[in-house]
Amino acid sequence: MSLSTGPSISLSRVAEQTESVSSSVNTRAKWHQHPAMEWVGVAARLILGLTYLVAGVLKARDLESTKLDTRAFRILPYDLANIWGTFMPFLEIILGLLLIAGLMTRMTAVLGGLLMIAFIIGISSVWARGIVIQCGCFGSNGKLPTTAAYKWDILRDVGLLLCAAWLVIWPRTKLSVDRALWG
Amino acid sequence: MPRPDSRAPAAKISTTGPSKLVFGGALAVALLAAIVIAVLLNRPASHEPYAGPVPTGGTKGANGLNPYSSLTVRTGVPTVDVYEDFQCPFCKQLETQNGEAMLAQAEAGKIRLVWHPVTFLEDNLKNAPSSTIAANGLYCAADAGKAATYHRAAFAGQPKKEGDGFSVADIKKFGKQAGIKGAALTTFDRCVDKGTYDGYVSATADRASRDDVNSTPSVFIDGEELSPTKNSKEYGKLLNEPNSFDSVIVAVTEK
Repeated sequence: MSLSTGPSISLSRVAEQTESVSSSVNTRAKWHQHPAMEWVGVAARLILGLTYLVAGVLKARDLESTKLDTRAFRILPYDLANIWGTFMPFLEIILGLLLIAGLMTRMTAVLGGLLMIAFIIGISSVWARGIVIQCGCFGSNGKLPTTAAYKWDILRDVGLLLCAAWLVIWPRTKLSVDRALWG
Repeated sequence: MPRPDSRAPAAKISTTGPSKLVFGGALAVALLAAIVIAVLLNRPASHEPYAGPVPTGGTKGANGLNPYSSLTVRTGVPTVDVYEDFQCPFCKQLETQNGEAMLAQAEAGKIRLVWHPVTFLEDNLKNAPSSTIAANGLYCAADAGKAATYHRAAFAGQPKKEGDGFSVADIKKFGKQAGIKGAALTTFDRCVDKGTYDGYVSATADRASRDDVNSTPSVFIDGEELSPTKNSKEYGKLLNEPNSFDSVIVAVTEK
């Protein structure tokens, strides 16, 4: 990971030394190397990591409902949906903890991003087929449940996917175990 | 371009500290272990046919209850499958608007009505075994020949606040309200206490999930699904228009 950023840092430094006129152009091109950007990475790690941790814990505490929700997507066959519904909360918890700690940031961000893409595809699929995931049992206001909330779910997941993408591209962040172990 | 100079610090960074392979390997092992556990926890059931007690009006394969099993229906009449939970407010709404209309058609032998009480709400609401004891009570009442009146009483006695659930005392009260008396009531109460049909309840619920029924109420007319997803117009009618069942069944079966 550091191999890709290493040479370009020195390149711009050399450029600064040799051509003072073009230095401003070079630093603007490398805006993501500004020290403040490593704090953006911390924010991305915490937003994605806490979301995964909280979601994973909530799902793991009620595996039967999680399995039911997974089956309700009607994408995977019955037994496979149950296996995925059991495994996925623990995957989310592991990814959440690693992201919050900042350990193996790039690898966990890749996995977290792929999972987010899977969620976005799943929600788009049920939306397109008009399937309502929440069983028609919460709240008795006389209104039938609709698919209206799906656009917000997708918007949220796209935002989280952007956090993951940021960390895949720039995994070096402040306050991370990666930084403590490998500099 | 002084490339060799610039590459040196980068190479140094990646070789210091503990091996990344160790951490990557540990993550891979943890994820693999989680997958193995998930597979073991969800081994496909051995598909043994249900072997426990079957209530009057039930089926050998444990697939719901026909409240008028003693009636001989004409061949070719539509089968109406209703998947519901006594705790579910929308199911109560369906019962209020069209429960009597469905029963009337079933009693007249114009449809074959099958109730499938399911139980996932007790997981969602975390008040197990509320749905199970209410469903078991329906089967106990069926043995006393009072399934239809129990069904009505249990929905009428649904907790005002969703999630409050049913107690065993509630179920016994529904039996009394259903008109079960004397020795039959003693048998009913014992059946409720023992949970005689708990196995039948979970077998019916399992069957419903395998048949892709994940929300309640769901209604199938000769296999044609009415739910918020499919045939939502007819579904909305059943839930909101009193006694609309007759017109809905005509609309669906003539499709």
